[in-house]
Amino acid sequence: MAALFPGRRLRLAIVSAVATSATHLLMHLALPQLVPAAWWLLAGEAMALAVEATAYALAGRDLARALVASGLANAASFAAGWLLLG
Amino acid sequence: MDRYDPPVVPRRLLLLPGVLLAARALADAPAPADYWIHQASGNVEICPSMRSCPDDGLLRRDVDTGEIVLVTTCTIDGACFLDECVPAGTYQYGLATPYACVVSGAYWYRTATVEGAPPACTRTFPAPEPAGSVPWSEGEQICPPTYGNHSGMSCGCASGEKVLGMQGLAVAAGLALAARRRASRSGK
Repeated sequence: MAALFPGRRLRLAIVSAVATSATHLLMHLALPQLVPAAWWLLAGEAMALAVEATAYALAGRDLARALVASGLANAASFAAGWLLLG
Repeated sequence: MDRYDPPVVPRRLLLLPGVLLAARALADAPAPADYWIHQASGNVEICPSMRSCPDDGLLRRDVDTGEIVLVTTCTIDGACFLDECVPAGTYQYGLATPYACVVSGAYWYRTATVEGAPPACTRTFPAPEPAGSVPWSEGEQICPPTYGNHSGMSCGCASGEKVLGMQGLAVAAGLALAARRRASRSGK
């Protein structure tokens, strides 16, 4: 995030922490009630990707960087889980 | 002011991003549909995750004799099934209405070896009624966890490849957007 938004590090760090916490809670508390278990993971990760990219785009005023940041951050997080649990 | 200065930053702090990533990734995986079994003096408590007693009852199958009974009695808090004064033996405990498959994995039943109730064991509830059959055959697991499952759509769950593919598409879309913007700027 710092590398992609060098001029707005603090603002993006705060937005990132809030957005990640919000999508995390949504994924675990709300989504299981709304989506069949078979699609929970894909739907949840898609929701997290979209919500976080939107938040970064609004805070950083740059959609392209926001998409890259959200995609990379979520992929890194997911890949870490894959390595640890897979 | 916020310049990164490696010699001053404790090395442990360098691990923090990795730890946070792993914590987030681990927390993305919910608890499996499983049973927690605890026994004391021949009384067995079986606590199913995500479901609570009495549900549609809990089946107990004696591994040696094949005898099946339906347990419908609960602990005071209603979180667990209570099987009282169980004779010594090895038993399979599983919900009469099995779990649905979830991404974190699900179990038909769990096996417990009971040491046996003492002769003085007294029931507070009636003994469990005999039941006809169990919904499971062999193997405890209904489906394995598919979080990071390389085999893809087993148990109908989304695979890790699809999730990473979707995230890769977002990165590609961002890069394409940036390239297009750069091209249009240089064209002016």
